[in-house]
Amino acid sequence: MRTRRIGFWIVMLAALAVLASCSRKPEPEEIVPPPGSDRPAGDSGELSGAPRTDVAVEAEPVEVGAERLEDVFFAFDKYTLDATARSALMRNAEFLIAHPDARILVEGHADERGTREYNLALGDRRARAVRDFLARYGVEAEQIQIISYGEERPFALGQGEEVWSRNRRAHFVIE
Amino acid sequence: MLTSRDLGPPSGGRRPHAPLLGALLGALLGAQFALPHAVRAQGSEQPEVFLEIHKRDAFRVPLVIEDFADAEVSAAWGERALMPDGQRVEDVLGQDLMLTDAFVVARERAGGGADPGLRTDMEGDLVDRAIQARIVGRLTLRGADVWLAAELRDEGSGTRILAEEYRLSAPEEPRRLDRWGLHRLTDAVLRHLIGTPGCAATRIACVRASGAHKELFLIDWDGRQAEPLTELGSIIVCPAWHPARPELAFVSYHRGMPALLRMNLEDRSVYTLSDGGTPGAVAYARDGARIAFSSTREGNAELYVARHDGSHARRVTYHDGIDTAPSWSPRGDRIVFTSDRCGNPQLFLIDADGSDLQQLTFWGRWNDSPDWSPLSDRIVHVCRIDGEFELALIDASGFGWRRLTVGGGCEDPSWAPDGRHIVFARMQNGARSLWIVDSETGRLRRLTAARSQTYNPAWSSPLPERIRASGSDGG
Repeated sequence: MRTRRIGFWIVMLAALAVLASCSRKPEPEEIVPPPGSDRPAGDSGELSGAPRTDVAVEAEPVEVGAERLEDVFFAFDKYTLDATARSALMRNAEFLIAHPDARILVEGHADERGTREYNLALGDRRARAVRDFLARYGVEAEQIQIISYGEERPFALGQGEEVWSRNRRAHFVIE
Repeated sequence: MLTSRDLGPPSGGRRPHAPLLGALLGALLGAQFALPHAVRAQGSEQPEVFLEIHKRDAFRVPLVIEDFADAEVSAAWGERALMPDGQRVEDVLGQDLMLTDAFVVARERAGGGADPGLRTDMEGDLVDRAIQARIVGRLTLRGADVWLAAELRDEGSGTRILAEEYRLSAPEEPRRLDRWGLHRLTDAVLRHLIGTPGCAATRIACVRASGAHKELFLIDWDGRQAEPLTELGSIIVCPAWHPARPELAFVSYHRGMPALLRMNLEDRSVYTLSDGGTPGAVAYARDGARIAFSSTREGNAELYVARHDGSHARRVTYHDGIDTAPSWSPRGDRIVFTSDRCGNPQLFLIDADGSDLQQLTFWGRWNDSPDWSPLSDRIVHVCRIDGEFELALIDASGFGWRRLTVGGGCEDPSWAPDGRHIVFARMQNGARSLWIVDSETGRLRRLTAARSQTYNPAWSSPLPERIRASGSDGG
């Protein structure tokens, strides 16, 4: 009799434990507030207004320490480094080796052609190609972080090869 | 004349030496295999195949909408209930039904009177076929809210096909009539008369660029009710809807490094699906239980399949090339994706467990951005033709390649839940805007204004309530 009662309570506790774990939702990592609460509810129109596009060059290409760290550029749909790029990277590497405390972020960018996702991966490729070159040259791995912006943060707005070639780049940011 | 079966590579299973075989067959089949280019080589601006696609569809079902009875509301309000822009409810319903490209709609006074032989539709064209069904309705009041009691009747027999009630009053503003109830009625009519899901009671998520920021927006299928969904002051791209829950996934830079996140649209809680490396857009399987996504977390852009919350991620591709842009088959067994493993981006198929890899496209220099229809084995994608990016369709079997657009600048196609319409972005004169194309007729419709800088759209499944930035409309 006693064994059965203990057994009963063991089953009850086990069931409660299962219920408790099932009902626990994952804790949200963050709650993103809705956009400006002063916005009138309802029809915001048909997106007829043109948004601000007067920013001539987005993410201003502040050539931080331009005389010391140069951006490198790529051919369409390519992430290979040509001779000009390699010379520039060698000079960048010399600087980084001489300043072992310097931390840089290498941003990979693509021009607007092609598709969004592919360009995100292409930007990633370009940033990695640069990092790998610098690492082989002797720069410490912890000095370099990489990020890809794909086609999302162009340096020059507009169409045509002159604009596109300026956006196919690996951009250096000193942190 | 070349038929659709002549297009595309030969059928068959695995093609391990696909590019070489493709080239050999291309040489053998000559002009047929090089069709995408031969289409232009015919010398005219509008190739013959293309004109066929664009000719007016002869198979739209004729409907008639009678004037709705409005006595109850008129008595209470002292005036007829009209939409905010001054149009009659039944006229707006007719416009919604015409947008489906499945109906021609004529209007009729209550009690008839028009000579059926001289009926014209709402676009002013003669209705040259017999009316198939009739919509009658009555505006009623429930408390302060206006409701539409609508019936769909078979014209020949008078049989009632559908009888349903839809709230028209906007939430918390009974005097302002909203189109959402009419969208739901449009979808119900499509379901009952044509047998396919509708896409009117849906939301289209997209990205809007403003200066350096890119934020998510929501729009109705008719281009109205546009509102911002995020205001993170960052770059947010690649929206993707959960097929059954009010949840939207996206890639965001607001934490610094890009991450693939999902947001519950009711309480706006955010969870990580994948971080580490550069992510691509997530693709939800139709059952909502699994996702596929691209990530460079292991050093190269590869595909992963995981549970819907991103856990238990399993790598699916193993190649130095870029593997990205996955999209699931409706049955959830196969995934179409883009890979440049053969030199430039082409479409490939793979099983969800990574087996049975097959190349789907071989010709041209660029085939990318696939989206698999929710209802069939048709895959829409971006194809680079003569230097321009156009939309094209192809069957998962490899047959039936068909170009869908001219004019170039096309990006990011996304199927509507009706498996017929496709929303996409078009770059023209330096600005991006959203368009909808009917895959059966090629008919184009502008969704957002030319300079709105909207792009990267994703079309939701049919929704019970309109999802808003601060939850849903409720009620």
